[in-house]
Formats: sequence, structure tokens, C-alpha cells
Amino acid sequence: MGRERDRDERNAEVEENIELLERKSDILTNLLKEANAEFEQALEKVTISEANFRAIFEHAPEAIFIIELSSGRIVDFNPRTLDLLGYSANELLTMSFEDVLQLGPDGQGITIPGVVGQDSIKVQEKRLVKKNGTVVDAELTCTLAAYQGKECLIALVRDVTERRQIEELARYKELFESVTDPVFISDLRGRFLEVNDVACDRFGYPRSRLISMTIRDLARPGQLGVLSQMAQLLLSGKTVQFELETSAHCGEPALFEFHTRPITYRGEPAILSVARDLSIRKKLEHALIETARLTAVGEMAAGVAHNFNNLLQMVMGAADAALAKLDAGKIRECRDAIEGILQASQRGTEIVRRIKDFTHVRDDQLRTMESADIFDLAELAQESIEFTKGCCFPDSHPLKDRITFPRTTPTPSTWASTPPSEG
Amino acid sequence: MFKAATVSSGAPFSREAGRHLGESLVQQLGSSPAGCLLFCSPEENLGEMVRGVCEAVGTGNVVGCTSAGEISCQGYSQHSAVLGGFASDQVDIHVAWVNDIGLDSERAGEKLAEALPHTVRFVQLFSDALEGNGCAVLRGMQRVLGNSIIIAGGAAADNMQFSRTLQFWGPHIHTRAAVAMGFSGRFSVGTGVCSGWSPIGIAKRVTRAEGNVLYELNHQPALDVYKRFLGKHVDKLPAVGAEYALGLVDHHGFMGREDYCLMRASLAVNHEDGSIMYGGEVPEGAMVRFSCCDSNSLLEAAAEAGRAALTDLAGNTPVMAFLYSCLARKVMLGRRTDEECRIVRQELGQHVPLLGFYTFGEYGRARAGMPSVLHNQTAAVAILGV
Repeated sequence: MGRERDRDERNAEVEENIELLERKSDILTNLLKEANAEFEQALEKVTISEANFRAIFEHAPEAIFIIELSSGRIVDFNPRTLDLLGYSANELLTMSFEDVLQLGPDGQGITIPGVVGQDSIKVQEKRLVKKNGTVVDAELTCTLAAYQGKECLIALVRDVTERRQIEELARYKELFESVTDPVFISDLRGRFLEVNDVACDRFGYPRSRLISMTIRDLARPGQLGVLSQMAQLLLSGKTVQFELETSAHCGEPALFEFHTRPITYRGEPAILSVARDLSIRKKLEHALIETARLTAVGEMAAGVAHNFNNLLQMVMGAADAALAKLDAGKIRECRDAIEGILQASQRGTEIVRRIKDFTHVRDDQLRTMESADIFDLAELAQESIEFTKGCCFPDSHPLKDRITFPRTTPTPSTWASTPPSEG
Repeated sequence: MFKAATVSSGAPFSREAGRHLGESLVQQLGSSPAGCLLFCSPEENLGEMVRGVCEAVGTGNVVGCTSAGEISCQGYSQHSAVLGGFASDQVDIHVAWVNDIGLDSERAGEKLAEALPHTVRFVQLFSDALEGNGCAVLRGMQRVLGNSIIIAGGAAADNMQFSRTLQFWGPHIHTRAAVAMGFSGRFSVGTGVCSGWSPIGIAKRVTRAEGNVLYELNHQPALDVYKRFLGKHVDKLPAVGAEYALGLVDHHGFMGREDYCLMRASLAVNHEDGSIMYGGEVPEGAMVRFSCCDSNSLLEAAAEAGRAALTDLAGNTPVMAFLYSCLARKVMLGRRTDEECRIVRQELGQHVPLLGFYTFGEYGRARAGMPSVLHNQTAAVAILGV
């Protein structure tokens, strides 16, 4: 019985093991099927993915180069590359990437390692040379990747020529607007094409109005000759510098110094003018002359005062003596003293004449002088007397208030030619 | 001093049989044990037998559960009871239990841990796998005791009936409960887990899951994926699901060893929504692979678990070993089931008392420094050392 039971158990175990093996076999088959299905799905995904990437590559709006790193040879590129550089596909495939890179500033070629750099992805600006020899400003985004089993450089090339031009224009525009002098760009007939804000402010016109005007509209009457002369020089290609009297919108005159040169503006010949307002400079120059003149007059006044002081000392001494002699009844001696006074007065007349010679101002000159340029020598002499008499006469002196310098004429020349009768 | 012993009995359950079992243990230990672990088949008069054990051992620190096969120094046995006990002046034993773990398993785990002193360094946990979520119980305990607490044990089983499991503490017998025995004092613990299942097929992502119910793999109903995998054998689910278990291979389950996955055994199939219920949680987002095994790989895995536990013990003297092995392993091993116990004993040494059972889920720590988790399909070894 025991043997039979043992045998039955073993048989059952064998059957169970067979069942397990069958199950395992079925499941392994199912696994293979599943793996195959997964592979098919994965393959389909890869195919779709490859097609997507190929579509992106073919239709990318930027040029894409794939360059073999070891040789620098261009191994693949997208259609945009052909449009960018003007080469045919066959031509590009025989070229190295270094062939389309413009030489560096030192005239040396740019190497692939220099383009790749140390980083995995490097963005830099380079210049590419088209087939027709023109140059394209390009932004290169480079990275390394395996392509067809080789280590390759993937270079995404973006044409930034237009952007560069816009940036340069922006820089010039900034400069144009930042200067403190009026700047004009005009055509060859003098019509303004562009003006800066300073020009609008300085001449008091809004930009829209100023743009419709010419340089002649800003010039004062009588300046057209200057403009014509300068125009001739400019048309011959010269840079000219000239002063021009202008008037602002409010009518205020102003003198400007124009630095003008011919340029090309938007592809057309044009004139660039920078105007420097000379009004302030002129005022400064005038103030300097006035200061120098006043200094000279001051020095002269000091000399006049000194001489007159001496004469007054003599006059006062003689007058004192005359009074004393008169009181003493010594008429003759009194007369001598009075004659001394007369001599001193004559010397004063001589001094005035010498002043006239020194100033050397003629009447016709005097007429053209502005009031601010004329000084009253009589007034100056009176100021000198006032300044000195406090030192010479005590307050109780009977002559202190009697000494005056008659204002017979307001001009030094007339005063000098007609000495005051009262000495 | 640390004394440990295990005894077993194949006699029909009765109070007398239980008393006899307890007395045998006391006799081997030479004194009343400080704590006892009792695993037995869900047989008739189980309650009487448990009461008999408690009367004989003289301590209330008795915990245990029903099993799907018992393990002791005498090897593997069925329809039996195995009892292990320790007497020590350097280890303190603490017992805790919680009912109705199915209502809120995580909170139940917290309550269980809160009933243990904070000095506990090693816990043996036995819970109802049919009603509660073992992973959630574990999380609750770890929330209280910390992730570094070493938790070993198993989910109670009822042979192959999958109807009702029982847990007991002292003479009390309950279902839908969890019981725990905590160890504090001067001792060391080594743990090792290994399944012997190897991944096959292509990894798939869990795209929809909730707790231990898997709804979708790669956005396809889980049952459909199983149908493609098992073919005509799909009607043998969930039993065949234990044979070709699911292994978690990514960061949710992979433990840093190429041949190790956190295994999940299928327990039930819902043909209406195409979902499959497992013996442990399947995290959404995890990568899983089907796996397969043979008897040799299972036995080698058990040996590996023993070796790993010994290594983890770091030179300390092993005084008692616990082997919690999955019911699926017993099914796969068939007549060779006994070899698993013998192989583990060979690795650990014949002098080390061995206790354990075949479970519906194994609690264990895969490697030192990692948190304990709930495994399926796995041999989990824990060794107490001094």
C-alpha cells in the first residue's frame, strides 16, 4: 500500500511538473510574442520619430551643418544651408566647414576646435563666406554628437546680418540722439532728412516741421552766399566748417559753427551737419575783452588819480599860501601863490591831453561804439578826486567841498579837447 | 544569559496537547520563558490548545497566529503547532495587540507601536492579511517607532483556504487583528530576505493602482496584460500569479541588488474592472516585471537569506532564528518544502533554535539601514544574537 501511495504521489508530482513545464513553455512563447510586438511598436515609433526629426531638419528655418570632427568635412546639411551660402549640394559635400568660415582678424583660418570650444554647447558669432564672396554674419550654436557612427559637430547657423545692421543703426541712432549739438542729415539740396531732438529744441520747431524745411530756412538773410559757397565745397566731396547766422522759430538770432561733410544715407548721397552754438562762446569772448579793458582803465585811473593827487597837493598848498598872504595884505605874494595854482592847473590840463593821446579814441570811432564801451573820463576823474580828497583834506578844510570835476562832456575825447575852465 | 528553544506537536489540538507543548518548552528552557511565539494550523480546538499552552508556560507574553505550514527545529510540518520561547536576564519582552485593523490599518499600526515602550529595538509582527493592509500597519508602526526599527514576522495564514486567519495573544484569539512582540535590552539582530524569483519579460509601469489593487499597467487593464502574458493559463489566476509573481524593480522595490525585487503575489482577480489584488501594496508609478522561479532557485534564495542574516549579525552569537516563508514558496517547492527549513538550518547552524511558518506575507528588512517592508514570495530570516 505504502509503495503504491508513494508511486501515486510521484506520478502526481511528475504530472504537476509536466504541467509547470508546459505552462512555462507557453509563457515563454507569449513573452517572445510580446517582445516581438514591443519591438515592432518600438520600430514604428523610431520610424515616426526619425521622420519627424528629418522633417524638422529639412524644414528648419536655420541652416544646419553636420561636420565630421576629425576632418572638418561637411557630411550633411539641410536645404536652408544651400540658400544661405549659394553652393550646390555636391559642392558643399566636397568642402570643409573651415572653407566657409571667414578668416580671423589676423588673417589666420578658424579651426574646428576653435569653433567647438570647451563647452558641450557653444554659441558664438562668426562670419561665413558665400559662394559669391559676400559675407554673412552668423550666430553659430555648436554641439558634439555621434552621427552615422562618427563624432561630429552639429552647427546651427542663424543668419544675423540684418540683426547686426539694425543693432548698428540703433547704436548710431543712440549716438545721434545723445549729442548735445544739433545734428542734421540733409539731401544735396539742403532739405532735412533727419534731425535730432537737440536741433528741434534749439530751433524751436517740432520734428515734423523741421523735416520739411531746408538749411536756408534756418539761415538769416544775407547768409545765402555762405551757404552757396559751402555747398560747392561739399559737392566736391570736401568736409567744411563755417559759421552761419541763424534764427530760431521765435526769431531769436543765433550764430552757429557748422561742421559738415558728405555721407551716404539710406543708399543716397547726403550731407551730415553738426552745428555748434557760438552765442555763448561769443559772449564769453566779449566778457573777456571787457574784463581786460576794465583792468586797463582801472590801472589808468589809478595813475590819473596819483597825478591829480600831486596837483591837488600843489593847488591846496598854493591856495593856503594865497589865503595867508591875502590876510596878511601881501598882495604880490598872494599873486605868486595864485600863479602857482594856475601852473598846477595847466599841468593838469597837460595830463588830460596825454590821457587823450593814450586812449586814442577818435570821434568817428566813438560814434560806432556802443554805450557799454564808452566810459566817462570826467566821471572817472571825479571818482579819483573823491577817492583822494578824503586823504588830503581834513573835514574842516574850506576847499574840501569846493573841489569838483565839471562834467562838461560825457566823452573822454571831448573832455580832453575841452579842459574844464575851472581847472 | 539567553536561552531559547522551540518545540512542536502534531497531535490533535486540545487543552492537554497545548499544555503538553508548553511544558515541553519549559522543560527545554529549564525555566518559565519570558516570552513565547506560537504558530499553528487553523485546526479544530485551536482555542483550547492555545489556552493549554498559556497555562503551561506561566507567562502572558504569548503571541502567535495561524499559518499555512509550521517551521521549527524539527523542520517543516503541517496541521501542527510550533512553540518557541526565550528566557533571558538581558532581554525584556513586551506584547501588544490591536483589533479591527481592516478599518484603518495605518492607525492600527500606530496604536500597536504606541503600546510598546520606546526602548524596543526589534519587533515581531503578526497580522491578518485578509482583512488589513500589512504595508499600512508597517507604516503606522514606523511612524511611531522610526524607520530604523527592525520589524520581522509574517501575515497570518489559513493554509490555502484564504477565508479567515487568527491572531492570538495570551489565551485570547481574534481575527482582523495584529499582535506584536517587542524586544528591548542587550541583544543584536541580523536580517536577510531573498525570493529566488528572477525577472522575465519587459518592464512595465504601474499607471493606475490603489493600495494593493493594480488596475493598469502601461495604461492597459492589468488583467489584459496578464492575459497576453499567461495566454490560456490566465484562467488559473490568481494561483498562477504566485508562480509568475510581479516584481517591483525601480526605486519603489529594487533594493540595490541586481537579482532582488520586492515581490508581489496575486490574491484575487476582478474580471469586471480587470484589476488584480496582491498581497502587498503596488505603488503607482513603479516599474514592474513578471518573474519566474524553480525549486532550486527558491532553495538557494532561502540559503542566501540565512547567510545575509548571519552577515548582518556582525559576529554576534546567534541564539534564535526565525524563518517566515511565503505560502507560494511552499506551493512551488511541493515535496521539497522541508528542504527549505533544512537549508536555512544548515546555514545558521543546527544548534540555533529555528521557529517560523508559511505566511501570506513576510515582514523583513532587506539590508541593514533600510526600513522593514512587507514582502511576498520571499524567505525572510531574522536572527537574535547576543
